[in-house]
Amino acid sequence: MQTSNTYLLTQIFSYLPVDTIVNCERTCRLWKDVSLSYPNQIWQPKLLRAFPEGCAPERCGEENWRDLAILWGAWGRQWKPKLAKIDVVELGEHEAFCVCEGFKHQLTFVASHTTTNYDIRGVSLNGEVIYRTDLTAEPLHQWNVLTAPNRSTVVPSKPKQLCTFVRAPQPYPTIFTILAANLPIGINLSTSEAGLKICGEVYASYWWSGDRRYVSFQQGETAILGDGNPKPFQQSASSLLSFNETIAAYFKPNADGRLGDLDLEVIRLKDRKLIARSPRSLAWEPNILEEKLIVTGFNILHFHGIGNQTATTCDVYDFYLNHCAILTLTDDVVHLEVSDDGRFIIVRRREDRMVVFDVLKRQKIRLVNRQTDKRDGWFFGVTEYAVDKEGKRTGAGDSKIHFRPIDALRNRREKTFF
Amino acid sequence: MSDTLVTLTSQEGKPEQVPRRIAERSTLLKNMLEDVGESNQPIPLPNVSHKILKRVLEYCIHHKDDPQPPSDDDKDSFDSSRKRSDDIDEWDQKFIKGKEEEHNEELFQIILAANYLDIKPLLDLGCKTVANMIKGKSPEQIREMFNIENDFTPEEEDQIRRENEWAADA
Repeated sequence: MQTSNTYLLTQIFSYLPVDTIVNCERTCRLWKDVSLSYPNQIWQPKLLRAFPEGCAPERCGEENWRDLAILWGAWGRQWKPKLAKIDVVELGEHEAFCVCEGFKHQLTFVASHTTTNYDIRGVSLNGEVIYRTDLTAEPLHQWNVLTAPNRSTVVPSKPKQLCTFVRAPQPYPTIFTILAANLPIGINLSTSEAGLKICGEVYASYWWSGDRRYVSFQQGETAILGDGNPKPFQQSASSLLSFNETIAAYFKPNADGRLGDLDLEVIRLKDRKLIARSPRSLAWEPNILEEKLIVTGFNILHFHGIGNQTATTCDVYDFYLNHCAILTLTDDVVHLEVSDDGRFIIVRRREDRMVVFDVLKRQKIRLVNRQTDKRDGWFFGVTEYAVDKEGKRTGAGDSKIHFRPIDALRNRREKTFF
Repeated sequence: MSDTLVTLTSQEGKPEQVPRRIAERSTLLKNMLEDVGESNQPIPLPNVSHKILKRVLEYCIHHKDDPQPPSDDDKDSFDSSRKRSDDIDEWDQKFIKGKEEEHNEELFQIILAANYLDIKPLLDLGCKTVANMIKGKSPEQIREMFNIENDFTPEEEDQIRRENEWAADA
């Protein structure tokens, strides 16, 4: 029996469902090699078939098509207990997200939900948005709320505001606030000398009531920012965010460097390259936060921030969607940096010795419910090593990556490093 | 000329005459015939036994009026995301089934011949049939079916099984 022709095996595998290909991988080394070596021929088509036409992901990051196809095939099934860490959180009346960590990757689903179903409308894999659909379109997948893998409910913390504006023309002024944690599917903001033009739907709250809802704007309808001064964007045309685009907003301190009234600048990134930015910063209410805010794609938000910083203490915040928790590093920490790709936090001491924590990937910091005492999910993936005054690494440090509960990390730091 | 006869010589040296139009169902033979022009020289097919050649020609005769399949490039864009194995027509099912006792061996010989002669529809038919045979089978059953030696260590087997838990039903 001729079972070693690679091309023929590839052809045969391409006709098989995911679970059978996986069984084929288990028959012998050659078949496994074939399955792993030709993802574009074998696995990518499986995935393309799972998406509505024109909505399939166009690229694959660190993960490969095989992993993605397997994950995709898994989400409609009853998952085995302990196979994955799953957390379904209802953010509000109409939104929910599910973080699923297992296999080698993290999937985050964002759903609108009714009393009976979660309608999956956005999916990110390891932080990259790979699919999203319009709220008016058919959802990609539905989960029955009663049979969804797991669920917990939290009281949403206050969403962050991106900007406020007045709707015009108007019988009377209505001020809306666009919420960073509840961004519309695309930010449909465009340039106008006269003001901010908005079209499509944005998820906004009324300034005075906090009532959040979707508000529709007609093409070209002009809205004026809350203070009446136009704050135009450079983005020349309204367009939806594609999966590889990011809206990022960051705060700029005042010229005197003090945390007073902060300015907010909004930028639009494609593959982490700047493609648009607001030429003038948006007025911003004072806030304890001064770090950058990253909003990726479909309502998926994750950033780190410093609050309550003094010469010797600071609190490090970890935000996920509109959920906030404090990683309290209360002593000796004087500076925190997030690298351009958002992957590292460096905490330094202005003493003879410093400790550097490289948080490997932001998705490795897991979300836990702040309202509970459960700290199981608080893990930092770190490499630890000492550095000298100039910040140069001294000694080899730990070559292994450690994932420790934050408490354990703090204890170890106190006992071992200082 | 499409009515001219072409002589194909099998692995065993046995000649088989077929109309050129039938032979040209094979992209390999079509290209060869176009290259050599008018010639009475037999075309040797050292990789195809006479028995399998006859079976392949049987398929080609039945499908002589089918439209030519799309080229490789077109084909990729055409069906790369729509591959199905349950769309085999009745005649093809009977053809590929062959004799029960020789089924697997003959099936693979036909696939190899179709691959060698570059007859896409027949290759697809063979691959779909094998896929249908494999579908839903366990690794052990697949090994038994195709006489495959398990060259994994028990530890490797266990690791692969654990890695692939996501792909299995609960």
